[in-house]
Amino acid sequence: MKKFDRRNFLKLAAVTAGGLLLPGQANSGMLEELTSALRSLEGNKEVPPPIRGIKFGMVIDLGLCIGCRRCSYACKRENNVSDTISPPWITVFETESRTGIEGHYVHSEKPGKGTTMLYTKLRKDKWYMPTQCNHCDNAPCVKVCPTGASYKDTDGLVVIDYNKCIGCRYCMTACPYHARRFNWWKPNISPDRLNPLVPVRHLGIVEKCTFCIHRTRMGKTTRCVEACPNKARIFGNLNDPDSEISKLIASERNFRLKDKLNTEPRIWYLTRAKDKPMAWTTPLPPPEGIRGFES
Amino acid sequence: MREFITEFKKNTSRSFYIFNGILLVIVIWGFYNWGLALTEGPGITGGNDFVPWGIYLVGFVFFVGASAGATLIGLMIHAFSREDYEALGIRAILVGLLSLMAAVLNLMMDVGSPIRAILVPWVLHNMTSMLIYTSSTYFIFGGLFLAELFFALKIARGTATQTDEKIAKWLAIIAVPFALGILHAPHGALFAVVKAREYWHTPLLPPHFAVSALVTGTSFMILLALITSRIEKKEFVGRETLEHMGGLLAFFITLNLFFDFYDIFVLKYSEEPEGIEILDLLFGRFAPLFILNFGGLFIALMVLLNKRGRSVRALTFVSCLSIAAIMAYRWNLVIGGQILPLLPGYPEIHYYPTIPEIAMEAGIISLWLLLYSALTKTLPMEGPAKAHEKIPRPAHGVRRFGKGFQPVHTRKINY
Repeated sequence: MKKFDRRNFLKLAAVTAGGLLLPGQANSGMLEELTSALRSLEGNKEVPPPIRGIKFGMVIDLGLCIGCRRCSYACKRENNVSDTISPPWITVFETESRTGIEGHYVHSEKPGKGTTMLYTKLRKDKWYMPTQCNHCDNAPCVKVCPTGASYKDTDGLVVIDYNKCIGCRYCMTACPYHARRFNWWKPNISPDRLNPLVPVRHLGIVEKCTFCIHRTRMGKTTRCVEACPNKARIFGNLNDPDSEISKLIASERNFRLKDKLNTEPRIWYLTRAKDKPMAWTTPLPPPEGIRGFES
Repeated sequence: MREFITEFKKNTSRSFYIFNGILLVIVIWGFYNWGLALTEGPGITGGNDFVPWGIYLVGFVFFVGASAGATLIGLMIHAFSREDYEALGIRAILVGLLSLMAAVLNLMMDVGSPIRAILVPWVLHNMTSMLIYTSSTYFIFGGLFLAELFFALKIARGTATQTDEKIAKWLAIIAVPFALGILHAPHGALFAVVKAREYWHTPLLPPHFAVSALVTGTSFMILLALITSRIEKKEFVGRETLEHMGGLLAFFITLNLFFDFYDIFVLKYSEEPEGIEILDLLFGRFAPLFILNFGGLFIALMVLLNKRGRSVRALTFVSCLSIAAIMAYRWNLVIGGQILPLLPGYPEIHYYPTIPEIAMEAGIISLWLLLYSALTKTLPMEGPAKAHEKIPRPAHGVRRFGKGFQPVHTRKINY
């Protein structure tokens, strides 16, 4: 047996330490992660500052949603959502009936059978239910975030500071709406579809719908609202009593997802009264280039 | 240094080198996979957006529970003056320290950006997060265990003053309420505060975690005593001590079964939709683990209550079984809680650990064993009071656990 003296011991120690550290060293961005976190202590500089006196909210009219998933596609392109993120930020569910929707989502009952999720064929006898981050006023994800990377801003948006997120995924388990996604793989976005206004999230951090913070804080509406062919989505200022959204919330039958959890979501869903005709009674032009559409 | 190495070489056998060599290989394999996860992405693990917390979180809560044994032994030695436990003293502190290290390592492997996680809770902190409190306790307990180790080593070397012994005593005594109150219960609260997950969201969870930590901790200590006796080929702790630990284990298992039962009973009785979903999962896809959890603890209790249930063989079986049962409970809770869909319409959610993930967990366990065997080899383990030499002095108030004391050397134990 080889003599086990100090020199050999030091050699062995050096080899072991090298072997342990080598794979870690390969990730050259690790030091950058640390410094960016320290820099972001002064505040999140990657997003425009909130506008005073505004509180954003959204209404989704389930009677008008045809389940085309254009919002989901448009959101993905606008926000540099990588192909490795699945399901996307906006997930559209297909449900059996209107009562089914209310039954499932308001009271969070046992899931019905035969419901499917994304990119199914569009059917007239089904209802569609888009879900995304609800930007809750009493957000559980903000409460549980250990670093303060998730925070509620003054204009009602729940924002993630990507420089502070450590990727512990506590927020993902805490979110009742399954709105958050983790970067399990390196982001994969082709350069031609890269939106320079939105930062690309790196490996190992959490992301979610931002209510298109880079647009809405500059006075524009969200991309999903623009993309909706049937105007099922309405975005606006809840503080303004004359805005369309405030009137809709006050007048129509509406509900919020899992209201009993007291999360105070900022997205309201509208259901149509029984005597009102459904959107399907008026024929729509078939959306072009949407997968799975059956006219 | 040279003297130390010659001494070390004299005391170690060939099997020690082989055993630790294998462990070292597994540790390197695990850490290599961690490096892979950092460069390629955490996607190489079995985790996904539906089950974001995988095997590491199960390992994490398990190791935190395992550290409970250390505080328990400290309590026995210092508060109940049971000198027969002193042979376990330093080893128990090492187990506590290493288990905390393993728990933290589990967390570090779990997070997407471990280098940034070093800043928690010093620089980055949000005081409403339970994770801040749990991560702070690792430093508190790490410090406490290190201090306990320092004084225990001083006592073992025979250089301790009376003040040192007093400090050691009080450290061990304050460790117990601290452990239950700020180490184990907050880990239950970590899950219990998540109102989105019905399976976790129960006020019973924090005390349940504390009790199951005591079950794992006690089982760990029994196994430790038996295995050490086996390796060192001498009566490491007395028969009376083993029986006493068996009695403690029976008590903790009863408490744990009580919590387990009422958890299920309330769900079944109230028949809320979420409760039915949980029961469907536990009696359906997760049934084998559920049976292991309930049945394992029940069998363990039955064996312990039997007259011959405190023999070496029975105690080995019982402690292995209760560790497996608690492991199954943790798995059901952590993974099962996430497998229940948050919104209707998702396909059936699955989680299977992958090879790199298992490698990393095996690496952590091997590192634990490696450090433990290296430290017990190099640190003075034998206190001035050796259980196999001294007749244990019965302490006031402990008699009710055993059937009266008998000098250890008059009874033969076959390890």
